[in-house]
Amino acid sequence: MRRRLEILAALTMFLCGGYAHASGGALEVAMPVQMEIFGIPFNFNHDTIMMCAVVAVLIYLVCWLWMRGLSKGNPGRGQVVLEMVVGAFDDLVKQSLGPNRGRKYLPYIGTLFLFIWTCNMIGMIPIHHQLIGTESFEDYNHNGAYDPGEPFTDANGNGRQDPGFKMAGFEEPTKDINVPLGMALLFVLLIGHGSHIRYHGLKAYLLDYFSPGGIIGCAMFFLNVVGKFAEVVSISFRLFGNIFGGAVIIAVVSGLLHYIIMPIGLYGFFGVFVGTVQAFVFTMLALTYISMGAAEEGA
Amino acid sequence: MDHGMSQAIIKAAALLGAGICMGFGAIGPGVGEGFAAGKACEGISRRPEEYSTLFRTMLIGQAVSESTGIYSLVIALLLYSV
Repeated sequence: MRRRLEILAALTMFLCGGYAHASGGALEVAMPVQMEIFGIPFNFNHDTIMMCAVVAVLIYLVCWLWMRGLSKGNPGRGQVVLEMVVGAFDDLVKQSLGPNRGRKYLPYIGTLFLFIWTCNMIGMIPIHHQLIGTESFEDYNHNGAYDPGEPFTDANGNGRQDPGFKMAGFEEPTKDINVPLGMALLFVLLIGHGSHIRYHGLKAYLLDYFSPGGIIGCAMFFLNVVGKFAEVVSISFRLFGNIFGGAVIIAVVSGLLHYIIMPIGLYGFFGVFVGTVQAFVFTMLALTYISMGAAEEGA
Repeated sequence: MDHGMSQAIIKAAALLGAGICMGFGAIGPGVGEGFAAGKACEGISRRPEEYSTLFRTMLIGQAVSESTGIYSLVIALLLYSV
């Protein structure tokens, strides 16, 4: 049962992560995957879904390689590092949730941090997007400019008819608002509010919206609802804005300086430093929101 | 007024709004983060052995207080793409 719930949650997050709102402008989707679910047309962002999958597989592979040959008596160098990281998160979660429930929530929190951190770092791998299965296709348009993006046909009917399969370029999936929003919905709504209902009961959860109680509580109802809503918005937009803004600044400033040396420093600050700090902040805030409903007595 | 002119005015107003949004939105986080860094400096000079805790707390606080600036950045980018 629990396993099935986890799979359902992961699937929800995956779909939330890729859902591309059909808006124009800067947030426009390069190659949306169109689907109809219950008759409602959905656009899914091809690049974001693919990069989420790449990140997930990457985490799985690295953890699997790292986990091989762990031993109790004779820990290697890798195992010591791993134990330090896991121990730090264990302490963190135990401090805010209490020793018993903390252990239960540790996998979620650790996975969240790993996923966001890897998402933020993956933009630094310099792999451009590639088209696979485009045998008779011309990647140069009639002006001679490199144009792998859209299918075109010239007056004689030659040229690319079918874009084939597009392997996404390595960009941060967190640069798309839908990924942070999906994670915020999953962790704040599903896990946070869900564990509040589970440990305190539905009645206590609903009464929490009238939090001071009495007449003042009724007046505060809308404020509490907006407060709960703002949690999701603020946590997701913080991550999205930092990563997206960092990517824009890296692109603009690197272009101004003709890509001489400076991009290394920019990637060091906006990629490594801001990415790590924001991953940690997202994790800490998710933990704080979860601990509002799930903390043990006296923890 | 013809259509192109009104489109141009809308574009100009959106760009102006993006600039104003970013300019005013950057004041708050700048002041706040500087204040947090200053207080952390005082704390470190008072208790240098607590450096790592103070630094970590300062960074998290700054990242949280930065979010208003980030919101204005998001709105500026949305306005830019009008």
